Order: sequence, then structure tokens, then C-alpha cells
Amino acid sequence: MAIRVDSNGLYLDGRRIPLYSGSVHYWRYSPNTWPTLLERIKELGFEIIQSPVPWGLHESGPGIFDFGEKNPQKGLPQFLDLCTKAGILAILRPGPFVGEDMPFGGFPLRVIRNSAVWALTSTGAPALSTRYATPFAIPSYASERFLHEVGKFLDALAPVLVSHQYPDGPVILCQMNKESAFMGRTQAYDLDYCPESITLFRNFLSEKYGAIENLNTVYATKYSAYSEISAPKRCEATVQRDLPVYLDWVEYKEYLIRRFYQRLGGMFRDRGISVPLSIDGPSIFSTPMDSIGLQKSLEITLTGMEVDPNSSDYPALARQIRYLTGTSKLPFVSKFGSGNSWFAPRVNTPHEEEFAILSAVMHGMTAVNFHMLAEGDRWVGAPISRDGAFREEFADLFRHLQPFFAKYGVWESKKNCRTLVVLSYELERYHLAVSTMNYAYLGLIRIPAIFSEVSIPLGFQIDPARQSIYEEGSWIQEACRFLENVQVEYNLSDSHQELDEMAKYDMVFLPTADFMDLREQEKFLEFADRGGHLVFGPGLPTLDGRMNPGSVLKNAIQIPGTQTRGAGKITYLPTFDAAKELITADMPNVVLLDNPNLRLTIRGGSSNLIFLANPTGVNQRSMMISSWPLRGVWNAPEETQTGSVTTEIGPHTVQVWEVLK
Amino acid sequence: MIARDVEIVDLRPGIWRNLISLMDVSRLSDVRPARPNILSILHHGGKVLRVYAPAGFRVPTIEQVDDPQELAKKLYYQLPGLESVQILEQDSLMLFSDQVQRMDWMPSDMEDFALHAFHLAEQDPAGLSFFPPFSWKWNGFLLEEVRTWLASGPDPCAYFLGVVRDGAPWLTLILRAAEKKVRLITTIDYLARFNVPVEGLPASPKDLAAVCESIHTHVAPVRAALICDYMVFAKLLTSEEKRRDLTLAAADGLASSFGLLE
Repeated sequence: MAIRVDSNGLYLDGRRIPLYSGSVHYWRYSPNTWPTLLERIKELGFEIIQSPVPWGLHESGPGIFDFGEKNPQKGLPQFLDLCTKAGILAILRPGPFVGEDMPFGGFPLRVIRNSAVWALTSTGAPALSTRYATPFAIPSYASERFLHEVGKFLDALAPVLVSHQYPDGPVILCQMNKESAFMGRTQAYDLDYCPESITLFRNFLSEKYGAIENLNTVYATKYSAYSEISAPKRCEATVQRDLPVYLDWVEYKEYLIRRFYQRLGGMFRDRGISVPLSIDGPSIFSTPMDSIGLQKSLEITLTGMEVDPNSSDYPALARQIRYLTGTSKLPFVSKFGSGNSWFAPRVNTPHEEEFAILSAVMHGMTAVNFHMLAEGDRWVGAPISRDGAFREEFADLFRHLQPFFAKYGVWESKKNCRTLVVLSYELERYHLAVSTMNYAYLGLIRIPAIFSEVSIPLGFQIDPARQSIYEEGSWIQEACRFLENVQVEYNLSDSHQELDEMAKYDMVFLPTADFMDLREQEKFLEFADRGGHLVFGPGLPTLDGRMNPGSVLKNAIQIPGTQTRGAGKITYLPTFDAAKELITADMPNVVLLDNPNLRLTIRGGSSNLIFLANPTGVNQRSMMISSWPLRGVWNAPEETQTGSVTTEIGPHTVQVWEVLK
Repeated sequence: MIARDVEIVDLRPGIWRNLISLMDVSRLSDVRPARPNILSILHHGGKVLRVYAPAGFRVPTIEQVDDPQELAKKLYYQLPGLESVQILEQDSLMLFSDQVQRMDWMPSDMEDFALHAFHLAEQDPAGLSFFPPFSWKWNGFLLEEVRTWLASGPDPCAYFLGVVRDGAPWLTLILRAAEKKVRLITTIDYLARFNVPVEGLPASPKDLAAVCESIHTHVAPVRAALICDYMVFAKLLTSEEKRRDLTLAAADGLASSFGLLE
């Protein structure tokens, strides 16, 4: 294939190019403006643009599509031809869901008014989305009718897309859908209870358990066929053995999403769309969005992540990017907010935008699309306005960033990172499963979200619900905090990570409670056998994933502490009181700080760059202890300094230093 | 109130930030619960499941709910400072959520949809008890009243808000309404398109007449306008006596208005 994506980047005919793009939505502007907008995009240093292709916009009547034949503003082929002429490559997002302030999320009303396509709540109501411009019924991932309609849209779009694929045209990547997790409605018992989904749930159970007797053994039930099984509508477990059905329902949601994308990817391929496919993933961790599982699928090359940068919440941004870096083949932020919707509670200043971009880079972002580089409707803070003029204060930032990235080979470099913190899929599933009700819309009357949670005393030594990454004080959050305090940079991943990928790290931190799948336990022990250092806690599993007695980890280590295992080590660490002993001299960053308020990472490539962030709102001062000479290349003094360097750094600022080896 | 395809131009991020630092703009569409000053009790058939108390309130132990309306009232008076008390039966909450989602969504924009949901809550749904009775406000204003007032204006018409801080414009907002909805949201920068010198305007409430004249000429006849000091505006947003407070501020030279006090 002429186009290839791997962990090093995007290759066109073997030539690596940075996946560095900006959105321009052709259909928002008069075709007369297109050449100017493309010119402006290039002036800001971009050679790739991205645009959604809204289904509802192009379908002008039932089964009738307009790609510019009637309305020139819908002229996708003409726009792509202009891109070719301007030497610009294109990423297209044909949906089916695009959002983007479009009525009904960009779906044709004709399609989503049909109740046969609706995802249903546990009470049988259509699950309505109110996160977008107009409320609409969320289509079900399980709906064959919906997929059939999507197929008709792709039939109409494919001739345009196929004829404009690289190398014949500018299209190099297709992003499928947007916000790929039930449009944000991830609460376990919220949706999808439509009949087709219930059938799929039963199929999923059948695939998982085989003969019905196997399921009966786990569930302690007496079903004679899978067709008798109902989906749970709230967690009513009273003993541990009640849990599997609820955990299965949560796992099924992952299966449902994965199946949908496999089908969708196949539909693209069947129509001759051969460029790499990606998913514009949501900004959530693990279930129901199985990022690693999706990438294992043959048809999906890349899962991106959406980031709405908020400079005052640096920890959240860093966590998102670390997860992206630890799970994605290529850490691609498919939607990095450049400005914001006018209804959003916050719009970044250029300084804050710079801080957010460089913070993302320092934690591993290696490919990015800036959302609304050219201003959309009802948008604030884009560098290019609707009439093609620069909004200078924002445009200047991009004018400076691109040459900097190019000069120092930032997109070809990788973050130095030898430590991985792994989310447990089983604990995250449990966190979702232990919930009583669907709280959609209760926010309107200001009901606390905690009312959907239940606290069930199921007799676990370690409360699994408190061990999610979303829970303050959980072991995994403590692990992250500990590593930051000892200045060890880490990535985040999840327990679906393959052993070969994990083996690229020296040390893996894994949260555990009373139960854990035995094969998963074996996988982590093998990581140690191969020479890695596995650190786990706070629990020592005594049950398997189906709540039956059994443990692999407990057979390997019984008491807190560290012991040799194969070529590596395992540590059972219930608390972080004595964790400092885990840190060996070669683990912390090779450049150290004496100010705990600052954060530092290093990216290595053609240049070695030190990124130093001040996530606080006040000036900070720190000594950088380095055995190499350093020279400031961004927001830092340019003269070469040797030995320990004292630096002052402003609030919400990232400095970049080049290491002169 | 605001047309779905409202045009937004010349709105600088700094101005927008100032506006949203005062006004709860996002809450209109954002259904995620904040942490309001509301005591919430969840029960199932009378048995208390969860209690959510805002920080600083010592709530007596409650295990059973027999008369939710009476209990809500009692707690409200027993714990001064609460915005409200809500006592909610678990299955009734599910039913409320179900009813909201069964509303006719096809002809609605988000604002209509949210209002319909609020109306459902205001209709005293079985199993959900609020004290004081549920009444949804937006920045201290009843949303329905604001919508009605906007819809009653001449067609077209304009509105202007200028907030001054330390003798400099801190926030300006021009709205153009037509066919009962706001169709344009912009700032005083918009007038520069017509060669109106806007630098530093407004600097004080005294600039009201000049600004209104320009808006009248280039946007639409002005129906209402207000220029006031930052502190005055912040107070007005939450005040229960807005008319009185505005009159007093005008008398002190801290505010100047048109079409609001008449």
C-alpha cells in the first residue's frame, strides 16, 4: 500500500511525513473562499487538512445525494481537486456520525426518525443525545437497518472518495464516526436495550460460554437456552457469585462497539476505500472503548483521542496523552481543540493554547489534528476567521510552532519512557457494573451523579469499586502520583495490552483486587519472566474473573515485598509507603529538578529535547541538574549552559531545552 | 430565545471569558450536575439509599422517608443557607428520565428541549419532592420570563450590555433579535466594520447614548441597553431586587440604562 501508518508515523510511498493537520470544513464556506482558506492553512505550516463529510448535508432527499452537482458549497470533489492543486493532503471523516454543530449530529432526519434504528434505554425509551446542536435519538450500534442506510450513503460517497485517494488524489486517511462510545452515554444500564442489541448480547454470551450449561455454572442459573436470558437493568448483586452477569453486560458493550467498527470498516473496504482507517475516539479510558482491541482488528489502523485542552487542568491533559501514548499505535490526537464552541464555558488564550499543545507534545503526542483551524459557525478563538483572514494572536502561535517542530524533528522523536501504569479492565468494568440506574437527564434537575452508584458489601477484602482510575485515592492514582513525585515519566495503558508491547518497558504497575482473570495474571507474570519488573497492589487476587477460587499471582508471591521471578522481579505493593525502594538509579529522568511543582520529560530523536512545564498559576524557579550542556530553544535562554542550570518559568508555560551531547 | 443558527461574529476569546466568568452560559445545555447548594436524599420505597449534602451542612441521620414533602420543608428550614432540598424516590427518577426521553425531539432545539424537561420537573412529578418547589432559573432569571420578554420586542431590535471596570470596557455584548429569537451575537468590535471608532468604548455609563445611536444605525433599533460598573453587574445577576438595585446604581452614576426601568 502506498500509505502506511505505524508507531513511527505516516508513510507515503515509504516517505515519512508528519501527521500534523488542521480542520477546514469545506461545506461551511462559499467555494470562492476555499482557495484562500487553503492558502492560509499552508501559511500556518500545514500540509494536511481534515474535514467531516456530513451525511445529512449531502443527502438532499431520500437516496438523493448532492456532492456539488446542485449546490456548489457541497462540492467535495471540487474541494479535493483544489487541495491537490494546492499540494495539500486530506483526511476525511465520513461519519456516519460527525457532530460538528450539525442538526441531528449530521445524520439525515429521515434515517434517525425511524424507531428501528434507535438505541433504547432500560425503560424502553429512545436514548436521546443532548450533547449536540439538536436533540436526537442515538442510533444503535446493533441496528441492521442503520447499517443498511449507512451503506447507501457510502455507496454514493465511494466514487468521490475512491477517485481522490492517494496517489491519485489527496485523501490519505479516513476517520470513521466520532465519539465512539454511545455518544458519551457509557453508564452500564443506560442503553442499549433495543431488541437487536439484546439478541447480540445473547450471541456474545453464547460465544463466550459455549454450551448453556457452562453459563449456568457461572451464573448459578438453570437456563435451557440463551434466548431465555435477559439483560440486567441495574446491579442487584448481593453476593460475589451474582456479579458475572453484570460484568458480562459491561463487557458486551465493548463487543458491541468493536463489532460495529469491524462492520463499518468492512463496508469502507467493500466499496474500494483502501486508505488507512482510523477511529476518532472519545476522551475516555478503557471500557467500553476497547482501544487496543480495536487496533488489533485488521481494518482499523489507528484510534485517536479527542482533547479539549484546558490549561488549568494539566493533570487531566497529561493523563489523556499518557494513555494515548501507551495504547495507540501512533499517539494521534484526532481532535485537538483550536478555539471552542461559543457555548463552551472556556476559551483558551493563545498563551494557554501554546501551553496545552506543548504539554501534549511533552507527554507523547506525536500526531495531531487541530480542530477548527479555520473557524466554524459559532466558534471562538480559531486562528483563521470565516472570511479567510488571520486572527493574528492565534495565527502567530501556529506560525512559530511549525518551524520549531520541523527544526528539532519533534514529530520523529519519541518520549523517553520505560515505565508503564496499566488500568485493569476488570476493575474498570466492575466500576461501571456496580451502578443502580440510568441518570441521563437527571442533571437537568441537578441530581448528584453519585446517586447512580451503589455501595454493595460483597465481602471483598479490597473494594473493587474504589480501584478505578476515576476514583480519588485508588491504587492506580497513587501509582501515578508516586512516579510523578520521584520524577519517573510513565505511560498509561490497559490490561488488554499485548505482552510484546509491555516488554518494551522496564517496569509495569498493575492495580489488583480480590478477583482477576487467571490468563491475565499469567500474562503479567510472563512479563516478569522475560525480565521486567511487575509491581501490583493493593490486593492479592484469590478469585478468577468469574468469582471462582483461584490465583496465579498468589502462588508467585504471598507477602508484600519484592522477589526475583525468571529474568525479572515481582513486587506486591499494598501501599506506597515503602515504594521509593523500587526506584533504581537509572529510572528517574536523566535531568532532575529541585522544584516539585514542575514537570519534565525528554523526547529523543534527531535532537534530544527537554520539556519543562509549569502547570501552576505562578512563576516557578528550579535548578535543572544535568550532566550535559543545555540550550533553550523555546521560552528559555538561548545561550548554552553547562552543569546545573537554574531556570525561571512563568505560569502555565512550557520551556524546551536542547541537550547538547 | 437564541436561534439555533445564530450568527456569532467579532467575539474575542477575552470578552467571552469575561462574560462566562459572570454568567452561567454553559449550564443551559450542559446536563451534568454541578455541585449546587442543594441537599439531595435518594430513597426506595421510604428506605434511604443515599444522602448528598453540600459542604458545611450537618444533616441529621435520616434512615426512613415517610412524608417526603414535609421532610423536605423541615430540613430546608432546619438548615438555613440551603438553596433547596430534594427528596427523590429511585424508581420515580427512572420514570422522570424516561419521560424526558420520550418527548418529541424532532422539532426541538436544545433550548426548547431543556425547557420542556424543566416543565416536567415543575409539574410536581410523583415521587420527586422539592422544597421550595422546583423552579429553574438562569443566572437568577426565570428562563421562561426572559424568553417571553425577548419574543415581545419589536422586529428587529437590538440589545446592548457594556460592563466597565477601572474606566475601561470589560465586557460588551450586542444582540440582534428578529422573529422572536436572537439571530446575532457580537460585541462592540462589530461596529468597527462600519468605521465607527470603538476603541475604549464604553469607558463609563455616560457613553450609553453614543453607543446606542451607533447600534441603532448599523444593527437595529435598540430596545434595551445597559452600561454599568462591574460590581453593579455582578450584583444584579443574583439580586432578587434587580429593578431597585439598578435604580440605586443609576443614581450613584454607576449605571446607565435604556428600556429596562421604564
